[in-house]
Amino acid sequence: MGNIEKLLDQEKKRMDNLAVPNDLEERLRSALENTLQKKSNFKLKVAVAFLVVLLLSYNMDTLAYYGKQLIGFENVMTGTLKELNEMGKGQIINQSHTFQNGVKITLDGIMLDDNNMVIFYTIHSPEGNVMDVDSDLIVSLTGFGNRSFTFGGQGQANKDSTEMKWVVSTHQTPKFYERTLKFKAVMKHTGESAIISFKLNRNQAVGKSLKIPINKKIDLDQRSIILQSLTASPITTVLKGQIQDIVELGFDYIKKNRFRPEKLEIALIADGKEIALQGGGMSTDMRGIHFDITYDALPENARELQLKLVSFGGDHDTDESVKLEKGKTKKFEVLGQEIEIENVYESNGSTYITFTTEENVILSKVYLNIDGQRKNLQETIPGESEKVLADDRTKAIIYYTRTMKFEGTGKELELNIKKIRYSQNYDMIIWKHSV
Amino acid sequence: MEFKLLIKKARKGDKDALLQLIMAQQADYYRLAYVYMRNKEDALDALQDMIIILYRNIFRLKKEESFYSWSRTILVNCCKNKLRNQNKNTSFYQVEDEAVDGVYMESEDRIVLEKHLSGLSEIHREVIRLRYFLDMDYQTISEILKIPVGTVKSRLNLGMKKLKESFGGDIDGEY
Repeated sequence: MGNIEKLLDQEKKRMDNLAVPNDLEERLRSALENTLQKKSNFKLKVAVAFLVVLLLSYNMDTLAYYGKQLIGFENVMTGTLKELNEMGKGQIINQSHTFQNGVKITLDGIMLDDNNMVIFYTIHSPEGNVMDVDSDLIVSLTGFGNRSFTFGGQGQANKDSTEMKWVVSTHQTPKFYERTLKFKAVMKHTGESAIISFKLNRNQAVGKSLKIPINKKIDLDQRSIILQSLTASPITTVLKGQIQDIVELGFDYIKKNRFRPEKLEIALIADGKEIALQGGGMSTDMRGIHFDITYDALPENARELQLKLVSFGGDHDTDESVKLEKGKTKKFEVLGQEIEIENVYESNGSTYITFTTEENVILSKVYLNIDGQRKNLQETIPGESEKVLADDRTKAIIYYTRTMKFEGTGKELELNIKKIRYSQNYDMIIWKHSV
Repeated sequence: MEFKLLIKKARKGDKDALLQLIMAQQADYYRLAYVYMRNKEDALDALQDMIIILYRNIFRLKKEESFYSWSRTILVNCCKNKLRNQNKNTSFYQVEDEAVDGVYMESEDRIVLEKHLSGLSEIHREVIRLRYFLDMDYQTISEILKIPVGTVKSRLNLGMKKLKESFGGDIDGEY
C-alpha cells in the first residue's frame, strides 16, 4: 500500500471508530421543537414565477443599454468589480475557440488598472460535465516575449453543468509596451490547445491609482514585518510588505532558528469599516520573504485608513527538551505555546504520549529520547477536539488532544521538539493614515 | 414495514417518527457530517440544520424508499452551506509546499493529510473523503451528490492524481 493510501486508510479506521455523541438525539429533538411543517403552496409558486419573468423582461432593456457589460458573471464578481461592470467599464474581447470534442472557451473581456488585470472567461461544455472539463484545462496568459502572468480567481458553474464562468486577476500588470497578449488554454488529456490573442486598449482601461508609501517596521515578539506600500485603484487595494530580508534569512539559517511564515492576516479598515479581503500571497526569493494582500477597492470618499494585524504564524525552529515520566501529567510552554501532557504510557513495546494544545499548534518535528536513544515519531493517533470559551468570553478556543506513538520503551524519557507550527493572534492596529 | 410506517407518520408531521428514522442510522449521519465539518460541534450543528429542513420538506418526498439518500443529500448541502459561511472569514493563503524539506517525515500524519486535501478543489476533496473515509461505493456517492457515476469516477481519479502530485513523488516510500 502506498503512503497516501496508508494515510487514507488510517483516517477510515478513525471514522469507523468515531463515537456518535451522546447528546445527538437531544440536539435533534431540540432543533425540531419549534419547527413548523410547511405546506406546499402552488398558487404562490406560480405567482413568484410570474413575477420573476416580469422583472427579468423589465430589466432586459436596462441590460441592453449597457452594451459593454459582461453579463452572467455577477455571481463570481467581488463587490467593486460588480460596480465597475455595471458602469460598463472594461474592454470587451468576446473571442472563442472550439475544441474538437465540442468544448468551447470564450475570452469575454478584461479590466485593467495599476494593481492587476482582471480576465473574464467562460467554458462551455455541451455534455454537462463542465467542472471536469475545467479541471482538465490549463489556462495561461502571456505577454511580450512570452512573459507569463500568474493569476488567481474563482469560477462558478451553472446548474446543468454546461457552462462555467471564471473571473481571475493577474498578480502583475502588463508593461506599457505590452500591447498584444495571448490567452491560452491547453486540454491536458489530448494536448490540444486554444490560443486567443488580443490587443490591449488602454483607453478602455479603468481609472488611475493612488500609491501611499508606508515603509514602517512593526516589531513583534519574535519577528518583524515591514509594511511597504498601499496601492488603491478602482478595482483593488493592494498592501505590499516584507517579512524577512535576505540578511535575516541567512542569520536564522546559521543560528538554526529558521521561521517559515505561513499565515499572515492583516485587515484593512476604512472609516471604521473593514474592506473585504480578496486574496494574498507570499514569496521567498533572493531578496527575502515578501507578501502582498489584495482587498476590494476603497470607498470613494474614504478618509481614515487603518491596518490591523489579526494573526501571524508559521513553522518555527526550536530545540526544546522536556523530561517526562510514565503516568504523570506535565504542562510546559514552547515559544509561548502551551503544551499539556495528559498521559505517558507503554503498550505492546511502544511508548505513547497523549497531549493537548490549541488546535492551531502542531509539533511539526518531534523525537523521543528513550534512555538516550533517539526515536522517530511513528504515528499520531487522533483524539477529540474541545471548544472552550475564552476567559473574556468573546471567542471560543478549540483544544485538540491526540496521542503520539514512539517505538520502544525505557526508563528515561525526554521529548525533543525541533519544530513547532502555530499562529499568534494580535488584533492590533499597526498603521493609521488620513487621506 | 416499520420503516414505511415511520415515513408515513413523519410526512403527517410526527416529529418523533422523523427522529426515529434518523436515529436508526445515527452513526452514518454523524460520520457523513463529520467528514465535512471535521469537528463534533459543527457536525452536530449541521445535523440540526438538516432535521429542520427534512421536517419542513418531507411532504415533497415522492418515493419513500429514497428517504435515506434524499436526507443525506440535504445533510451534505447543510454542511457545505456552513463551510461556505465559515470560509468567508478566513484568508486564502496557500501554504508553501514544504514536502521537499522533509518536514513531513516526522510530523503528524492526519494533519498532513488534511493539509494536502485542503489544497484540492472542493469537488475532488469531497469524493475522496466519501470514498476512502466512509467507504461509500460509486453509486451511493452519485446518489448523495446528485452527479452521474461516471463523474464520480473521473473526479475521484483526478482528485487522487492531484493528491499524489501534492504529496510529491520524492517522499514516496520514506514516509
